[in-house]
Amino acid sequence: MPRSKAFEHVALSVLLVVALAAFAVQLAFDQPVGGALGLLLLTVPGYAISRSIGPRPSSWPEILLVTLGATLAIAVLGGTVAGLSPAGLDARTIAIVEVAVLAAIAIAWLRRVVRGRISRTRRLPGQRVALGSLFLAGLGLVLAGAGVVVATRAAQDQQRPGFVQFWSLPARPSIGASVGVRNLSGVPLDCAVTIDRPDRQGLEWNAGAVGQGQTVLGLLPPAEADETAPWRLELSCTGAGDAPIERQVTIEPPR
Amino acid sequence: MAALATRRSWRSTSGELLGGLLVRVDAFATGLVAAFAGAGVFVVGLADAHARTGGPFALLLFWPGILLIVAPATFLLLRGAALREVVAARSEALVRVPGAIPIERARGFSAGSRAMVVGALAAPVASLRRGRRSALIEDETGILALDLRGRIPLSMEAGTLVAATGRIVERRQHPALRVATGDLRLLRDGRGWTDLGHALRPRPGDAASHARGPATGRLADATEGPAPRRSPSRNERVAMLLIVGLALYLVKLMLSPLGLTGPDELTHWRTLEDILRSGHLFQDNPLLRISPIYPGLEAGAAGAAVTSGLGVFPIAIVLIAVAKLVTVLAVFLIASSVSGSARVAGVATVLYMANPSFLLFDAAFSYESLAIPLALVAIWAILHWTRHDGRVGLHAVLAAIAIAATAVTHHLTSLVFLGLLVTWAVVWFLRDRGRTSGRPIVVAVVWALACNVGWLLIAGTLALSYLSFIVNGGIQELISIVTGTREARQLFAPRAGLATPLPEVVVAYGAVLLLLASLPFLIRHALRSRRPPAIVVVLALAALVYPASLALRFTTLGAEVSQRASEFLFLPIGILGADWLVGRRRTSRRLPKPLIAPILLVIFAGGIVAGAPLLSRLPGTYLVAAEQRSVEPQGIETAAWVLRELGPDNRLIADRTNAKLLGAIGLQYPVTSANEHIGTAFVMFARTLGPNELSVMREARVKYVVVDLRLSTDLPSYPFYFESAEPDAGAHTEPIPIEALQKFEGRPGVTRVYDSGDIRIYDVSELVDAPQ
Repeated sequence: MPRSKAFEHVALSVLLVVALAAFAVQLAFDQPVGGALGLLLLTVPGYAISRSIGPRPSSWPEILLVTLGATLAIAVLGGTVAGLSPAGLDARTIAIVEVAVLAAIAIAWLRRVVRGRISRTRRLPGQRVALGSLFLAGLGLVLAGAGVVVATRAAQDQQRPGFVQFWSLPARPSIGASVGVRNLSGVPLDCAVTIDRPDRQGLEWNAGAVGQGQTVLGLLPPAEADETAPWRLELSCTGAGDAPIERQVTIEPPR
Repeated sequence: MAALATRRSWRSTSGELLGGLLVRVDAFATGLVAAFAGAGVFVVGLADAHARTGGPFALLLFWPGILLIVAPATFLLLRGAALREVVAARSEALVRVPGAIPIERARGFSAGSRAMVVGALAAPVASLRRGRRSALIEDETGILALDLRGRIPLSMEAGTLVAATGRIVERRQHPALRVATGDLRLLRDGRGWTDLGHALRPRPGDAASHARGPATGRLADATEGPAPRRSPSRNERVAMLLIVGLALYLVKLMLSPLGLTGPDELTHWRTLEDILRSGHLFQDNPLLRISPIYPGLEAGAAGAAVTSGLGVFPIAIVLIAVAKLVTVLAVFLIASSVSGSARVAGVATVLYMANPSFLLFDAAFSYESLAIPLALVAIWAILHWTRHDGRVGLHAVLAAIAIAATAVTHHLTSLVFLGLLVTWAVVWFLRDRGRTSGRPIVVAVVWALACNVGWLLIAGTLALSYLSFIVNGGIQELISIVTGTREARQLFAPRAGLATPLPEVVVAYGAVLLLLASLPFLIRHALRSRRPPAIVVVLALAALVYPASLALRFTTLGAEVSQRASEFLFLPIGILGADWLVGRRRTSRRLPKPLIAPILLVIFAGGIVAGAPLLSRLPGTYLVAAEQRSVEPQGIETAAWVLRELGPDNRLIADRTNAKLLGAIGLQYPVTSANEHIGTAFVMFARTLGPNELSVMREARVKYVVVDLRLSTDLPSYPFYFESAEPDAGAHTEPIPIEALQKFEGRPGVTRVYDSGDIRIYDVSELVDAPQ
């Protein structure tokens, strides 16, 4: 057997075994393989198909098309089968599907190897990278990366009117009626809530300093037994310009 | 020697293994295109940043950026040295193989051919001719290369001919030609003629192989001749197109680099979240009921998410980027198979990328963006399956899984694909039956039919009513326009005060007119040969649909169909158009060469203008009912708050933008006429909350009403505030009155539970549940 062919057999075997092992681990522990490695593993069946079933594509555009096309198709069909299964789509069922696909490919490949039907490996051109071309490609990559960074930073820094979220929720089994303030105005604020109760003594709640991105929650006192008119809660925050930020909610008297 | 052999073995093997994953930057043209494309992306990034601050020059930056991405590749892809040019330039430099038959004695060649084919080319060809009348050789280029019955195609690209010749030499192993094999193999290995001088230039590593034959003494001479015109090799063309495809995808990505914001993206995000939450398919999606019926995109993304642990946004980016790569590759390889020319394939791919959906619509996280490449992969696989006499192998397997995956991913794509296959089978049956193997086509038709029918049985027939509503609606509307009972939709109508600049309108119309004007020529050119292949006839028939699809642009419902049709129709237009423009076969009417590149760029720019309105092409400040331009932090944070504090699946009423956000991020259930046939939008337009409105709210069983006060500040950028079933939809002349939005204030049984300034959420459950 030619050395290159033997090496290819070993390399493909290793690739298949590694992918099978990774999905077996995912199956056993119900945990994702994780990150970019997980995504790369999903391409192994596609690549293995391109190498193990004849006639094998011989140039890299065809290999790339078969690999990525089969990867997409297997991902779609695998996810669909897992979603249709009684167990539902999760890390385990996806691992089962991938293991099944990989095992089928491995068997097909082994059968071809045993029967000697793997076509002769056609030598691809040697890697001759022109330095000038490499430099230009690198320059393009840097420029494109800079463009994406510029656009992303601009999106992050886009001047949008800041806002404050103000809400009140009725009592729930584990917690009484509550009021909440979240500051997304971009600057620290001082906030206070006044509670207007028709025909009753009003209440006040000083939320104090609320930092950018900070959420402050408070519990509302229960209403009096004969109190039926809605409460009006008014939030007033200062610190973002001359005019205070005002919000208002109305709630049924909390019980 | 042993060490050298080992190193070569490792290199070739690793190249074989990694060949599918690496894009080789192996020539100057690829680097040049990469640099320009990178610069283009950078300039578009600047345009986006400028647009976000409301700068007036964003559009002036956008177009140069796009041109930087597309133009260099277009110019380089058009370059292709004809045999005549290369041989003429190299006539003094070609290796003359000892023992080769002089060209004058190579019988059967025409006089013109004799003048061009010399030395190394003539020898193997003439030698082979002794044993065979003809040689049809399928190379990786998919080319049936040589007809030895007396002629060589004069305009055949030199690289192609050499590739085929190299293969002949390798197969026959003629003793007199072995010496040439090494040299020709260098050429066959993707270098093409253009690197001939480089390949023949003596190098330390090549000394051993060159020393084998008597040609060595002539090799030094090979570098002395004038250099031929530079033209990219086939692999370079693919690499350039992949770079352009990815750069254009970055243009879309930079529009919303922080998350999914497109309306279709939010819709499919909801389906994905439902699958991740429940683990099962077919969960009801209130944003688009058809979406979970075709869950291929989301099921694939969910599988990737549970395997990688990554979030929805990175998964979506990777998935669609891969889909883009596959689209570009598949179009190139299909065109290469059909035309037999890498040059035609390159130009065809550029033309395909000019379709109005390519830049934005097909780059969104949407089922169509994935279904199109899957269908293209299937077409390519079937084409190659037929070339292998229908033997079951890689291409059959690939076709089978790609067809099945298409059927579960997108209704329209799978139906169009099925239609193409059926047409292909019919044309084959009528014309080529008994001559060529049609088994793969017939099997593919049966399999595609089985997959589609099977999926309809599993998932239900909602797709049929959905598609018939859109298509029939568009056609009915078109008939009304033609008969004068209805006004045509105004093209390039200003949105939110943003009118499409006149030059853009001119370019868009110009692009369409150029395509329409060239259609007869390219179809005639395609069908001109004595017996064009069945696939060419199918492509010609498909191209004829293009004018009809344009008519639908004048309708409201059909405009979407027309837009989507372009992503299918530009495949035949691209392939046939490129073959007409730069193909090998001569034609009496062909555009002058200097005009081809500018015309391609006009068509490309016209596609962008037609497919991506100014409003959605650049980011910017908030606009009312403007799809992604209405998606901003307040709406996003409100949706997140609703999920956090109120829990999922609450029934509510909201405007179109907040409904999408609340559905996708907040996992709520906005009730609309589209999903429950209840006109909730009419409740929102009423100035007071009367019995009719209360009745609708009770019927809809809504618990919350989400009010965005900004709606009252402007007319909607797209035709409606809430949905198409709303008062004055598409014909609003004044903004929705503020009283209509404030009518819930102080109403007994209604409490305002949330206020973020512009967005208010009212709890109406007590009002709705109160006894009537």
